[in-house]
Amino acid sequence: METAISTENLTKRYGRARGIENVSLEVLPGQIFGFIGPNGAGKSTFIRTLLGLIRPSSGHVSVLGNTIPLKSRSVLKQIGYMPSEASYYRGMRALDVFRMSSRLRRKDCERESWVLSDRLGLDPTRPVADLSFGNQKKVAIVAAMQHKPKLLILDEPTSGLDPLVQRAFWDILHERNRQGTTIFISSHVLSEVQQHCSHAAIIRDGRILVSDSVSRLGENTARRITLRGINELTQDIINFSGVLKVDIHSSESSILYQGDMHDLLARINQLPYSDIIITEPSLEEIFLHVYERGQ
Amino acid sequence: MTIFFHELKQGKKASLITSLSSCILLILIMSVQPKVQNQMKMVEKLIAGLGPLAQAFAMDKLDMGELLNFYSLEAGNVLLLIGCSFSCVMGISMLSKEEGRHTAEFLFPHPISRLSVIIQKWFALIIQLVVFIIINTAGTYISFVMLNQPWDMMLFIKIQLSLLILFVCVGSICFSISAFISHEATGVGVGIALTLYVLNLLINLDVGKDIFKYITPIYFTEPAKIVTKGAFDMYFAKYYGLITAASLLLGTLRYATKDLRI
Repeated sequence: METAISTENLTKRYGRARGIENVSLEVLPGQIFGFIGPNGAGKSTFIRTLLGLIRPSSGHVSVLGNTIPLKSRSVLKQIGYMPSEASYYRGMRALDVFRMSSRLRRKDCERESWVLSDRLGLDPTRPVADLSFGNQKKVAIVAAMQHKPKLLILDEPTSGLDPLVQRAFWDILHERNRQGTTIFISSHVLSEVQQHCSHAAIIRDGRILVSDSVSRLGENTARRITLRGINELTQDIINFSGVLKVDIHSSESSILYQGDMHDLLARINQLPYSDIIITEPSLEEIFLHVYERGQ
Repeated sequence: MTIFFHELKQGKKASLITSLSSCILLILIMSVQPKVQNQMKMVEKLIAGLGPLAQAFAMDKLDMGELLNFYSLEAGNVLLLIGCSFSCVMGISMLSKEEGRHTAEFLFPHPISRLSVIIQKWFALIIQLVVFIIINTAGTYISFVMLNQPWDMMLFIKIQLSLLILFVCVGSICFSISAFISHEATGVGVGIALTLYVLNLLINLDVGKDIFKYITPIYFTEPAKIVTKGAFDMYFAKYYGLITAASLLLGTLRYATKDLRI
């Protein structure tokens, strides 16, 4: 099966500074792929390499079956890209941005730009410079989607959007995904990746820490154990092998634990707790756990 | 052609303001010519008193009483300086402004090759320089007609053509430099224009002529020299044509392969 995005040992260095290091990643057609990482982790460097804006120092990049940057032009016809902070030319209205983008793609997207603007609540006749940050984000979304690309690459798309617009945005994305569009989305917001993406990868210091389906990431063996009615834990529990994190509050204590549950429960049962709740940790917790441990 | 028309649209205001301001200035300068003509003895004395300064501006070689001589020494010289600065400023920002204004991240994810961007932007630059010289030539022509004095039309065309060649040459070289930088560099553009101008003044003063004539294309396109010789030096025309082509090639190679700074 041809991949939508495939990288092998992709490395980009800026002189001595690190960009990304040996990134190998596969995104299959039809996936909504979340790309998670803290600021400076290399998310934008990775995306810009996919688009041919920067050249890899080593490794191989293939997008929609075409090697980048050799065949960037034919690939870019089928890609919609939304940067995290888009800048436009002076004096342009949102409508002018959409028209210029359409002309550069040699495709009439007038109708679709109006439909998308309407759904996102954007007035495209206003000058871009007069628009708020959130509305400028909408301009970027419309410009990226109006030509109905095969692959959408979105860099931090929801930051600055209010919850209602975010909902409209995700609705549009899911519609496009159902129509066959592959979506690669970088985000800080783990809950939205967990909610909307089928697959995710975590990048830290330019390296991929983990890449898997979101459901499998959620199946991580780590568990959060919340003990109600106690506000202290014994040292043998705190120092117990597999305990990743301990939070003690006034009326409850919780433990993030990865290991054999029987061993820990045997110790916990000696405590005078009033209730015990064992849950799967959120993707955020998994991310932080993996991130902190650098696995 | 999207980028080409987009560039023309974006640069329209600045180009027209510069061209019209320069044109008005030329007409004002030319309107002084009859007074200079009537007081030639005093003017000659003044020029003689200027010493090396008169030599630097080639005032010692031409009779200011003649319409075209006056034009080449005064208005033409001003046009040279303004046009040279305009060409350098326009050229130096043409490619780099996409990175400097962070619009590269909008433009380059579109299916357009960098070579195509370079070609369209260069043609947009040339068109703006052509419009600049046309507006100024029209203004100067009107002032000549109003002054109602005999003048050599062919020589005037040669002067204006040589200025256009100069603007295209320095504009293109700055355009190529623009491929190597990632920010707007208006100051660098003005600096290059002034440096080239000063080098030509030094050539006129016989300082470093053997070296500087290969550095500043003003050497072979200066209006006073065209009037004196009746044509520009073909050797230097070819030399600077080659320099321009080489710089464009270098700029293209650099821009086509560079990592865009966003």
